[in-house]
Parts: sequence; C-alpha cells; structure tokens
Amino acid sequence: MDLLQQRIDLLHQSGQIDVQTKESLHNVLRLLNQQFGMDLNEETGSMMITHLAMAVSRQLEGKSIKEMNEGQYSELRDDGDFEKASHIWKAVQEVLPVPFTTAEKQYMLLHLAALLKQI
Amino acid sequence: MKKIVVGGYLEKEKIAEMIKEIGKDQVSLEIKSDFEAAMAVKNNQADYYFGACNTGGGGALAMAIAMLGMNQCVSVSTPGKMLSDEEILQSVKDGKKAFGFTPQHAEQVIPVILNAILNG
Repeated sequence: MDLLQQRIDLLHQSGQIDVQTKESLHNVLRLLNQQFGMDLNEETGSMMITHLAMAVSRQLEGKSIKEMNEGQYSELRDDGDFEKASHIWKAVQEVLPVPFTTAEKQYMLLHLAALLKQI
Repeated sequence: MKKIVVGGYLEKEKIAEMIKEIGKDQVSLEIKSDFEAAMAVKNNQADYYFGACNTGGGGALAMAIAMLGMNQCVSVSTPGKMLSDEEILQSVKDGKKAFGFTPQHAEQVIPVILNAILNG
C-alpha cells in the first residue's frame, strides 16, 4: 500500500474520518486515475486528499467555513485550470458521502487547480 | 531553546522565516512534511508544530491530530475567523503543541503563538 493510501487509513484510525469517508477517498483516487489519468502519490496528492478528507468530515459534522471573498474567487476563476478543475469536481462530488457547500466547493476547486499544475 | 517544526502545506519557507525573525536564538527550526513534522513532535524531537493550509485545519493539522491527538492541536485561524490573543495564549498554557492557521493570518497569529511559547 502506498503512502497516500496509508495517509487515508491513518486519518480513519485517528478518528478524523469515518469508514464511509475513508472508502469514498479511495474511490476518489480510483476515479481520478481511471477517468482523468491522474495517478496520484504522496508527493502529488497528499495536500488535496488531506484537505478533502477534512472537508467531508467538517460537513458531516455540520461545521462551516467562510466563502472566499470576491477577490480570492475572482483569482480562482481566472486560473487557467479552473474549467478543468470544475469538470473534475463534478465527477468527484458524485462519489462523496455529502454534498459540498459553496465555500467548501471553492476550496476544493482551488486544490484541484493546484493539483493540475503539479502533475 | 525551543525546537519548532514547520509542517502543513503552504508558505512553509515564509512561516519559518517569520518564526526565526521573532524567535532569533531562542528557537531552532526545521521544515518538514506534515507527516514528518508531526512525528518529530510525537517522538520529542521537536517541541512545537506550526502549519498552514487554505482552511487552517485540513492539511495544516490533520497529521498532527493523527499523531498527537486533538487535545494537543489547535486551529488558531480558519477563513474569516481567528482566535483572540487571549485564546491563543490559553491554548499554549493548556499544552497545545500543534498550531494550524491560514496563510492570510500568519503574520497576525505567529507572533502571538511564539510570544506565548517563549514568554508564557
């Protein structure tokens, strides 16, 4: 098992994500690989997958974060990878156990855009 | 001399520079991955963990929480929300060893955390 899978398991063992979230994160990694050709490892994928794990947990627990301000979101929308990140996000959210709020979706798009620059 | 590790994901160099500038010869610093930084605190090779991510509690702290337990970790800032100086001071007094925050709040929270660590 690679380090990225171990990371997900560690988040589960430490009680930060439930078993449903753990399985959904493994499904996200499979989806990114099979549908988008993104074969993530610890170096490339740990920031996004850790963020996603905690984002799912926050929402299952009813915790909220604040939406980006207009300047931040405008910068994100102007990012060259924004459209592709949005396309990937539509597929990713289908395998998650909870719908994302606008704020959480914004930060996931930010992570996906950053990820696209890395791989 | 306090041993501080910078983990998290964002602006690690900048955070390390800020800590060094404030702590001078009272701190020693290492920049590591979030996993390695959390492990260093767990194994008593470091006293404190600082980490930043976009939300202040995801990539910044998840591994520290996994290694150290939630009772030793605190998210001092999230988007649009920051603990007061008094709350940060109290968290250090309460024995928190890992601090997560957003890059936007780094300049405000790092001096407060460090002051609490170095001067109680």
